[in-house]
Amino acid sequence: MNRETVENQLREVIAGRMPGRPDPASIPTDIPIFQKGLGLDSMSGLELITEIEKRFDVYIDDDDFDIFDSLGALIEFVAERAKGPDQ
Amino acid sequence: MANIKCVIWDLDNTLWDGICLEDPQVRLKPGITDVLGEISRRGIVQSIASKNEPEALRFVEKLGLADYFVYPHVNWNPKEENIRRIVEILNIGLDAAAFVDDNPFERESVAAMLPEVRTYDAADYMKIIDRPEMQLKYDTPEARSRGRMYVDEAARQQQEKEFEGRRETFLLSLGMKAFPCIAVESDLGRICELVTRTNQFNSTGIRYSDDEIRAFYKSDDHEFHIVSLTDKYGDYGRCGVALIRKEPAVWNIEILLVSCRVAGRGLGTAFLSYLTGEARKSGCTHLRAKYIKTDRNRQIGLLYKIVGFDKDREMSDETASVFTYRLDDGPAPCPEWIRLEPCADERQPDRGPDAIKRPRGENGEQGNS
Repeated sequence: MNRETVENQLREVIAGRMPGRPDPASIPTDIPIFQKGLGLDSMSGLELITEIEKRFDVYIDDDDFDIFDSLGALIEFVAERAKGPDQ
Repeated sequence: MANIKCVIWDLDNTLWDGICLEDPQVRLKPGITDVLGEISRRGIVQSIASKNEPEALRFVEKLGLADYFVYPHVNWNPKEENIRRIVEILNIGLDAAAFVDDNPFERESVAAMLPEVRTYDAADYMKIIDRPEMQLKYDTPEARSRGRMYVDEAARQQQEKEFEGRRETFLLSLGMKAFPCIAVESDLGRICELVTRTNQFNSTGIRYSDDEIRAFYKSDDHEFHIVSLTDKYGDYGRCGVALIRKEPAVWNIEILLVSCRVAGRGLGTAFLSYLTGEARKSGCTHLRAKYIKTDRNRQIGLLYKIVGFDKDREMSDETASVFTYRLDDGPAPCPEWIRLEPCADERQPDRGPDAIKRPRGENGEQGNS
């Protein structure tokens, strides 16, 4: 799975959980995903982590939680590890 | 071995003698109502898995047993499938379920497919309540009312399913109120229970003994905080605990527990919002939280991160992580659908100093609370 696919899918997954359901393409890549950043709360967070793991077949350890400090970091992390049909 | 939280019964030749759809005059087994009643009084939920036409449930009602059971599964599916469904609805482990059937084939089939489930021969129904795994370890109001809480939860889930719109709107409609406060002596029994039973929302997995908990309670630099929750459907009781170790300018959350009966309602976030606020009021600059990964508690590590704690890599080692919250940023936000309320004062003198009651002191209970 290439980086662009990962990014597009992550944007959609996150936008769907954000208050106000914004346009996925408009989400900035440099602010935290939770709380004061993009506004995801703890329950959306749990759903998010589960969905990312399922969809991209990755595992997110508690050591990796800093990837939620920005969408950019999350894309980086997933793109590096995601296994997908085109790999 | 985990204590039983749910007993799942077969119908024909188990609760009554005979086959109800062939003989409408079937009679209850002698003493079965007493057994069902005692199990319910212990806060153990009861359900039904029966290979039968759904109308067999009419007999449960006709024979006056309907109030004992939740989520009955009466159909022709394999029993293990129905048991698995019931356990999922209740959000408990398979090892917390017991299955009673007169038919050895059914018992063996369940034992083979779901080895964690305890299977009991219906012929021994009078002895079920004497089994060690059927005893109440901590006799608290929350333990005794567990069965009712599952029913309240069913109503909530039903409403949630029917609710069209955003989850936040649904959660707001529940009118949840959280009552956090410093624990008093009469809370110790419930604290011990939560320490023993909580797996998923348990920040360290450390099972402190009752004596250790009492020692923390008496210690000057430790403090237990406890939170109760209510909503329009009922009272969840005391369902969150934090053990705080106080240092100058820093509070340390040694263990944070939230009962899984309130999972997915945001209580953990609300509790941390309260704790950050209290630590700040007492003049602290940081709130630290210990986190030890177990095979089931990753969500509490994630909760810390989401609420705004950051992993302190210098203080963390291979066995335990330390997450730190900087209090100069203000207290962590509370979900908009939970109102933090001051604890009612009358709870303190009422329950008296009868802290840790252990009616039939059994050991080793674990599982979701």
